[in-house]
Amino acid sequence: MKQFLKYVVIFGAPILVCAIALEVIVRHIPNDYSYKKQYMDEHADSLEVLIMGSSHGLYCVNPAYFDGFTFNTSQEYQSLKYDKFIFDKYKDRFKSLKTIIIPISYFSLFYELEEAEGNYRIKNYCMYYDCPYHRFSVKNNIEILNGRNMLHLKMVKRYLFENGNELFCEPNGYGKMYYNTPFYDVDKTGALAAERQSVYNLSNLGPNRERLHYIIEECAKRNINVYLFTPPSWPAYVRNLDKHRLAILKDEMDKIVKKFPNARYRSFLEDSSFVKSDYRDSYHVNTIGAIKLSKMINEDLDF
Amino acid sequence: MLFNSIEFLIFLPIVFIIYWFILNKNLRLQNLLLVVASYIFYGWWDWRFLPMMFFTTLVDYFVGLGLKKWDAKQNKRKWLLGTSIVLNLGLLAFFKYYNFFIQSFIDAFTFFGQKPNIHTLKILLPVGISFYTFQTMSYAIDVYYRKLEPTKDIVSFFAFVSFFPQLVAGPIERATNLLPQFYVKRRFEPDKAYDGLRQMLWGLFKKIVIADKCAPFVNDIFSHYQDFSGSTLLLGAVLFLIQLYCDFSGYSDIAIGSARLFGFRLMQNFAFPFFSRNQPELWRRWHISLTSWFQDYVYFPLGGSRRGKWIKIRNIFIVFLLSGLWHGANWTYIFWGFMFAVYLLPSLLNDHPKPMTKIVAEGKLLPSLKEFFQMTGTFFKVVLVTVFFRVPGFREGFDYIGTIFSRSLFSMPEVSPEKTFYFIAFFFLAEWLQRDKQHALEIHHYRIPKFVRWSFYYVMIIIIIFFGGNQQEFIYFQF
Repeated sequence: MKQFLKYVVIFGAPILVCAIALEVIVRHIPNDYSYKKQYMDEHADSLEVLIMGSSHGLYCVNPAYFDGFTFNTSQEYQSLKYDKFIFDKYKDRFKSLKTIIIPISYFSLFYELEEAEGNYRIKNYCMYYDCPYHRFSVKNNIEILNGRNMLHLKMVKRYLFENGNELFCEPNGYGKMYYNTPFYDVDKTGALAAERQSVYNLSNLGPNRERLHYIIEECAKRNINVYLFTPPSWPAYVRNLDKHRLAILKDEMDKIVKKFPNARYRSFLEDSSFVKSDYRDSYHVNTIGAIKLSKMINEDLDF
Repeated sequence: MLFNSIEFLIFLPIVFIIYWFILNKNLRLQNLLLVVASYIFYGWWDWRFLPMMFFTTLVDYFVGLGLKKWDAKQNKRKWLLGTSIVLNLGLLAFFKYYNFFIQSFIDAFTFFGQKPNIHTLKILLPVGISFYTFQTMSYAIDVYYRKLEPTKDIVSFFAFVSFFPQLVAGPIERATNLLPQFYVKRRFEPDKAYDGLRQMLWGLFKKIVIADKCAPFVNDIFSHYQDFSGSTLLLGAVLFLIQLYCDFSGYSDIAIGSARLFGFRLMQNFAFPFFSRNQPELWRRWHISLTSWFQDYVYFPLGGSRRGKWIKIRNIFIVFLLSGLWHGANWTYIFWGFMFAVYLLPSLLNDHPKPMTKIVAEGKLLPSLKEFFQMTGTFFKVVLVTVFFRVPGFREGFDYIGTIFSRSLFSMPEVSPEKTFYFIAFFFLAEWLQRDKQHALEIHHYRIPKFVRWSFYYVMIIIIIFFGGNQQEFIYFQF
């Protein structure tokens, strides 16, 4: 028996050592999450405008076009639950913050990262943001258990030998992945995208409403305004959205604006000033559209 | 808890160390540990189903005792057996088939212009319910037929039902084989433990490198089958059969290997079925524990082959239709079973079929041309039927097969999983060379230097870690 254990330990030791080494190096490689956390740690006190939310915040709102000191903490698939987490983490340090911008997309009120196909991103909040959710999930706290290890090896190679990193955002947090990606046929993909985003659970409305109200109430205590917006989308997408969900979204936003004086909502959903060349796909504007949208939001902020 | 998860990688050594180092002198405590570990293992998915497993185990335990107590009273014995069967099948019927039967009922009435006022329910299917209910039922039936003495040892009985290596996806063990192993003191045998680890390694390779890498291609092809050519659909169907086999037999290998670490011997569940020369041989090699369960508890009680050719054919059809239904609550599964019964018809109509009990090309490196064509023919017949295992309905299944047999079959497939092909080729080669063994890594008969063996294991582990597909649940968990 002892001989058996001895052999298993001797056999397993090199694997364990290599796995630990890989984990340590991968964790050390700067990525969007570790960068944004570090940035917030250093600058939360002096920020004037903070952008949160999902890819609609990350790729559609560019801090470079805002008047005040602005930073974008959005991430792809970031749900209101994680917006609230980031808000809570830094709320007592927002000394100069005037406005928080949160995109409320068609799906935002019904969406949970845990239920979405992007749920592999949960580990980033656990490992790089010290997020307490899923603290006891082994998978969400070990990088090499997520995704393909061949990719991890490539990341390590880039980092160690080519001085690379895993940063895909500008220094101000704006996502730059859309710079070089191809444009999709907005007419063809609209219906599919609308269908895909209509599957989120309606029962998530309650918790998401609470989170949103909480953020706005806490902001009110700190004299911070909250600017909510629904991003522009191409008609082929809008036409195929579920009318019931859209009505809920509108109703919830109306109630918020009535209830909270520090909140403002604007829907760009069917804004005709966005033309086809402004879109990257049927529900995301591209970098040109993002400039247009960012300028329009910036103008709206004096409320 | 998944076998291919980090949680299991932590869980298994902990249980192993407590089992052999702390509780090794007390058999009862070892069994109790297995019960606790098994309940943790099962509860990891959804603890809400633990009371149900506890309850059915308890009922069957007392049914066993009752059958012994009223040994001479046949009526009471029948009632007790009936209680066990009704309870087990009732739970299975409710959780797995309630919506299926209600929906079929609604569809039938709607067809005749009526709209019955009944509704389906939102029911969560407990993982592995089809496996453990069959296992506990086999205990009650065996005790009823006096093939087995009922146990008074409640801990052993709970350990038998919930034994974690085979709890959620088999092999479906018989009480006559597994239960007595809980009564006797287990001795740690290093050679068997090493072999268990090798079998686990092979199971992980099949699951993570073959099945999980086939999964994205299969998912893509089956979800957009209208957009692909016949050759691509054929490739998709072949990859799905390989995925299904590697997924399920991979699970069985890990289960059998893990059990061996604790000194238990589980039955072989797959015996290299891709090297079968005809359908009867295939069913002696594929999901052996389920096939033999249906044989012992359905086919033989119905009369088996003793009451003439036509009764035998009827019995075979009943068994395969039930086997299809066991797999899932959908008519496509029943059709899948039906088609296998149809495949068996030629050998059933032949009064004296020559059973192929020997391993193909025994003692030879390569099969004869005849054997090769027999194996290929059997394989592709299974490929076609297994399409119905994957599609949501008949229309999709027939469309899929219709496209395979179209002109586009002779075009180049639009999908080319090149890297996966290399691994599949290696998998077939290893299974072929080891087809007379229990599993492909059963190599203790060969004199291979330790350095070579260890290097081979390291290469396998590196392949699993770096070339494995994204983690997928085991397909058979849904059954």
